[in-house]
Amino acid sequence: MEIVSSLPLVAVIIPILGAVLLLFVPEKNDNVRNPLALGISFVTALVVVSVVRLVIQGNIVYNKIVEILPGLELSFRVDPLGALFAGAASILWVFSVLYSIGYMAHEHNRRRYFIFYLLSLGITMGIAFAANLFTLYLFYELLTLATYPLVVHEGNKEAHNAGVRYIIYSFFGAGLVLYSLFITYGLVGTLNFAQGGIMGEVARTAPLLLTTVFIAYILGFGVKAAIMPLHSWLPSAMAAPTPVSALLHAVAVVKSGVYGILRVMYCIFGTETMVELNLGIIVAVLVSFTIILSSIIALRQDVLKRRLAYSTISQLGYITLGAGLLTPLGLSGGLLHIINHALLKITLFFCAGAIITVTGKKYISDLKGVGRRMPITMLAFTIGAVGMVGILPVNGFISKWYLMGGSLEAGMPIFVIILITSAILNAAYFFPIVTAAFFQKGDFEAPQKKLEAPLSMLLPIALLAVTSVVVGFKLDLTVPFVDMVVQYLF
Amino acid sequence: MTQGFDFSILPLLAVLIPACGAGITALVSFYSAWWRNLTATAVTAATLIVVTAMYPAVVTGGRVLSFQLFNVVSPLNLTFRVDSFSFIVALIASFVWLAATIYALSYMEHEENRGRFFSLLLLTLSGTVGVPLAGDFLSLLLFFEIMSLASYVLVVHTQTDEAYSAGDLYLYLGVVGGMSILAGLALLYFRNGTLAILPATLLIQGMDVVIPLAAILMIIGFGIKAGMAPLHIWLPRAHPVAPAPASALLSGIMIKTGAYGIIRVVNVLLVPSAGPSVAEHAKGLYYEFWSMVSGMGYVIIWIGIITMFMGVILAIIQENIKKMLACSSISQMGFILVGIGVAGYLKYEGAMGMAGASYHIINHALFKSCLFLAAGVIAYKLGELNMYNLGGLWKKLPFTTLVVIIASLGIAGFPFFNGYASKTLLHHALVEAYEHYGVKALLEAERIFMISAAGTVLYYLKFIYLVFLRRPPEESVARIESIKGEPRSMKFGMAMLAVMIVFIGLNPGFLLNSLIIPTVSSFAFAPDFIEHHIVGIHFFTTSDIMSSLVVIGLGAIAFAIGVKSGLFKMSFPAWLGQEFFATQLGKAVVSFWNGLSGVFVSILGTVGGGFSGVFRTGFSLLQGLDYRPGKSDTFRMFNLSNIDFDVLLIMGILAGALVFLFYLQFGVFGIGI
Repeated sequence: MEIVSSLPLVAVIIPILGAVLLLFVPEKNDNVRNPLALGISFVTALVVVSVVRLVIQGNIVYNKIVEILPGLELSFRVDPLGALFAGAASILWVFSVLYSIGYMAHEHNRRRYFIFYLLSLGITMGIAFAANLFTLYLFYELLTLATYPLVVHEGNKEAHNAGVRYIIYSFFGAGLVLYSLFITYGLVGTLNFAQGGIMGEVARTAPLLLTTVFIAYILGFGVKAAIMPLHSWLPSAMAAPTPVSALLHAVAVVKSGVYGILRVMYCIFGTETMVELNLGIIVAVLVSFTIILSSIIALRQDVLKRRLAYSTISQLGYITLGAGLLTPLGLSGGLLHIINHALLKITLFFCAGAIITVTGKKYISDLKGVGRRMPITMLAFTIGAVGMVGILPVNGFISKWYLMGGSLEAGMPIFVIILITSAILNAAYFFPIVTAAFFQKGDFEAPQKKLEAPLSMLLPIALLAVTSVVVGFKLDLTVPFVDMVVQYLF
Repeated sequence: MTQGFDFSILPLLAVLIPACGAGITALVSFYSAWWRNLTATAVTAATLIVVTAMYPAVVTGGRVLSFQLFNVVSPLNLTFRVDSFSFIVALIASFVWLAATIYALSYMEHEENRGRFFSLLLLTLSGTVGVPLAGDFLSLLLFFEIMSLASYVLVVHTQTDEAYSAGDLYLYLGVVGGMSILAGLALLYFRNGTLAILPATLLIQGMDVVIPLAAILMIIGFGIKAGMAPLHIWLPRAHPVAPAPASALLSGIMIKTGAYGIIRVVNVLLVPSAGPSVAEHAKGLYYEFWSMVSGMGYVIIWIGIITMFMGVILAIIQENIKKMLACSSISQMGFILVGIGVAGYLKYEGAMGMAGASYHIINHALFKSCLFLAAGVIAYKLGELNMYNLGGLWKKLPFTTLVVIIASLGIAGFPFFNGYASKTLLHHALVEAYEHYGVKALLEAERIFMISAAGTVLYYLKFIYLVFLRRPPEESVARIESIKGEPRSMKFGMAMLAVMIVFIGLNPGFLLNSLIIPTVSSFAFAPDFIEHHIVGIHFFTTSDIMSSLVVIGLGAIAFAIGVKSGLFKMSFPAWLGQEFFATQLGKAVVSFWNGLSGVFVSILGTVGGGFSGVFRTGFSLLQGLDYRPGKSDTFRMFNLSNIDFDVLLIMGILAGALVFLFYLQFGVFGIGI
C-alpha cells in the first residue's frame, strides 16, 4: 500500500537543520555541541526507524516535494531497498557520532567537523529515500560536497591531496551518471524507480545504446563504490579522522555508490532487461577483479587504515557481485553484506581509531603486543577480522553463504572460487594483525596508566562487535527483511 | 533400520556448558587462581556428565537424540543429532579433556597466562564436543571453526618464535581447510537443499560431477585436521609447541574430529540408502553411488597406508619426544584412515573397517594423550625433551615410567593392552578387503601395515630405552639427579588414562559390545555381516596373538640392530625432512605473493601517480579560471567561510543539468534511437 507521509522529508531535514543549529554553538562549547549532535542523530535514527517500520508492514512511503518537469520531480519514495540502506546508515551514524565525541576531543575545528558530519547524515538519508534517479543524483552530488571538508579535516598536505583526488574522482563519476541520466530520460521520459525497471521496450530497440549507458552508470556510481580502477581516492581519503573513514568511507559514501548501482540495475534497467542484454555478467566480472586484486594489494599495506580501506574495496565488490548475479539468492547475499560489512568494517575502523588515540601508532608493524594493553579493542578487532574472513558464527559468513548460493543458482561456480580465494586472502591480511597483537612481544608489555580508549569510544566498539556476533547467530534479525527487499525487487 | 527420534536438550547443554564456562573462567581468573582451577575442572566434569547422560537413550535404547534452534547461525537452523558414533567421539573427547584439565592444574604452574589457557581450553572443548553432536554439516562446521580458532591460542600459548611460526601454519591451514569444507557444503546445499548428516539425502537429485567434487573438497578440509598425508605438514610443528595438556588434546582428540568428518562424508553422506542394502541395490542410481563410495574408500585406504608408513619413518628419526609423538599421531591416523577406507571400499559389508576405525579412535585418544602428558612431566621437571640428553628416569619418575610403558604397550598393540583389539580389527578389515575383490595391491598394503606396526614398536622401544632405562649421559646426570616425583594432579590425570588402557585391554569385548557394535549398526552396513563377523569375535585367538607377537618381535629386532649399530644417531639429510619442504614451500609461497603483489602495487603506483599528475595539472588549470584569481587555494577551503563556492558549483551543475533537460524535452536528442 502506498501511503503519503512527510516522514522521509523530516528525516532529511532534521540533521540539516541540526547542522545549522550547531553553527551557533561556539567552537569551545563542547558540552553543548556533543549532546546536541548525538541527540540530533538519535532523533533522525528514530524517525528513520519509524519509516522502516511502515515499510516492513508492507507500505511504501511516498513524499513529493516539487515537480520540475513532467516525469521529473524531486520526491521521496521509501521502498524496502531504501529502507534497508537508510536504516543501516542512520543507526550506525548514532554510534559513530558517539565515537566521534571521544575521538575528536583533542582535535581542532570540532564545530566544522560536527556540522558537516550531520549534514552528511541528512544527505545520505536523501539518497536512500530518493524516488527517482534525479533526486538520487542531486543528493549524490551534495554528499561529495558535504564530505569534502571532513576528508581534508587534518588540513595538512596529505589531506589536501586526498581531498583533491576525492573531489575529482567523485565529480568524474557524477558526470558519467549525469550523462546517462540524460540519455535515460530521453529514451523513456521518466526517471522514477519502478519494480522491474522502466526500460521496457527500449531494450529491444536500442540495445547498444543501453549497454553503453549501463556501463556509464556502473562506472559513474562505481567511483564511490570503489570498483577498480576507480578506487584510488578511497585509500588516500584515509587521511581523514578515523570516524570519518569509518562511517563515510566504509558505510555511507561507498555504500551510496553501491546503492546507486543497485537502483540502476534493479529499478531502472530491471532484471529482464539486464538478462536480455547480458549486463549482469559485465558487472560480476568487473568486480571479481576488484575483489581479488584489492585483497592482494591489502596484503602489502602497512598502514592499518589503508589496509582496511583496501579490504573495503574488496568487500564492496561482494555486494556488487551479489547484485550482478541477477538471482534472488545472490541479491540476498549482496544486501545482507550491506548490513554485515557495515557492522564489521565500522568496528574495525573504530578499533584502528582507538589504537591511534591511545598509542598514536598507525603502522601494523608497530602493533606487536598491543593486545596486552588494549584487550577489549583487540578482541573486537578479532571478531571483525573473523567476520570479514567469513568464518562461522560471525555475521560475514551469512552473506558469503548466500553469495555462493547465488553464484551456483546462476550456474557460475567460478564466483564460488573467487569468494573462497578472497576469504583466504582476507585471513592472510587480517589474522597477522590479530596474532601479532596478542602473541608477539612488542613495546606494550608494561601497561601504563591509560589502558583502553575513553568510554565514548569503547562503548560503540564493544556494542558493534557484540552486535556482529548476535546478528551472525540470530538470522531472524536480518534475513527476513532482506528477503522482503529481494521479493520486492524481483 | 528403524531408529526413534527423541528431542533432547542434552546435546545443546554439552556445548553450552563449556562455552559459558569459558567466559566464567576468564572472569574468575582475575580474582583467584584456586577458584579458576575449580571452575575449569568443574565445567569439564559437568560436560562429561552431560555427555554420559546420553548413554541410556543413544546406545542402549538405540535412539537418536535431536534438537534444533531455528534460524540460528545458518539458514538451516542449528541442529544436533546424536547417534552412537557421535556419542563415542563426544564421550572420549570429554573424558580425555577432564584428565588433561586435572593434569594441567599442576602443569600450568610454570607457564604464564593461565587464565587465558583454561578459558580457551574450555572454548575448544565446546567446539570439539559440538563437532560430533552436530546434526548437519553447517552446524558441524560452526563447531569445527570454533575449535580451530580457539585451539590456535593453545598452540601459540608459550609465545616463543617457534610457537608463533608453527601457530601460523596451523591457523592458515585451518582457515584453508574450513574454506574448503565450506565450498563443498555450498556445492551440496544449493543443489540438494539439505546438509543433514543422513544417508540417502543426495539420492534425490541423482548423480553428477558435483557430488564427488564436493566430497573431495570436504575430505581435503577434514583431512588437513586429521593430518592426512600430504596435508600433515603443520602437525609435527604445531602439536609439540603447545603446553603438554594442549598437545595431548590436539593429538589425542582434535585430530579425531578430522577423521570423524571424513567418516561422516564417506560412510554416511555419500551412502545411497539409510538401511543395510541388499543385492537389488546393485543397479541404477544406487549402484552409481555405491561405486563412488567404494572408489573413494579405495583411495582412502591407500592414503591411509601412505600416511601410516610416512608417520612411522618420521617418528623414527625424531630426537624430540613430543615431535616423535606427533609423528606417531600421523602414523596412527593412517591406521584409522585405513579402517575408514575399508568401510567404504567394501560397501555394505565394510562393518569390520568401521569397527576397527571407531575402536582405534577411542584407543588412540587414550594412549596418545597419556604419552603426551608423560612427556609433559619430563618437560615440566627437566625442561628438556631431546631423548639423547635424557636417561635413567625410571629411578626418579617411576610413576611416569609405568604410565609410558603401559601406553606404549597399548600403542604397539601388545596383547592385553587396548591397541591390540583395534589393530586386530583393522588388520582383519584389510585382509577382508583383499579377499573380497582379490586386488593384489592390497596384499602389499597389508605388508606395509605390518611393517608400520613393527616400526611403531621400534620407536617406542627407542623412546623407553633412551629416556627411562639406559644410564643417563654424563652431561645431564646432575640435572636428572636433582628432580623428585610428579605432582599429585599430574599423576591423577595420567592414571585416569592408564587405567582405561589396561581395562579396555583386558576386556576388549566389553567396549566392543557396549559401544562399537551399536555404532557400527547405526551405519548402513548389512546386519547379518555384523552378526556373523563382529558380534562375539574372539580377540585372543592363536593366529591373532601370533601375528601381533611377530610384529613386536620384528620391531624389537630392528631396535636391537639400531642400538648396536648406532643407526638412530644417523642424521638424515635436511632435504628428507618434511620441515625442509614446509619451509621451502612457505618461502616459495611468500616470494610468489611478494612478486605478484609487488607487480600490482607498482603498476597501480605508476597509474595512480600518472593520474595524480594529470589531476594536479588539470586542477591548476581550473584554478586559472577560478572566479577569485589570486587566491589560488580557495578551492580547498570548502568550509562555512566561503560556502558560496559550493553553492556556485551546485548551481553550475544544476544549470547545466537543466539546460540539457530542456534540450531533451524538445526531443532533439537523437543518439542511436
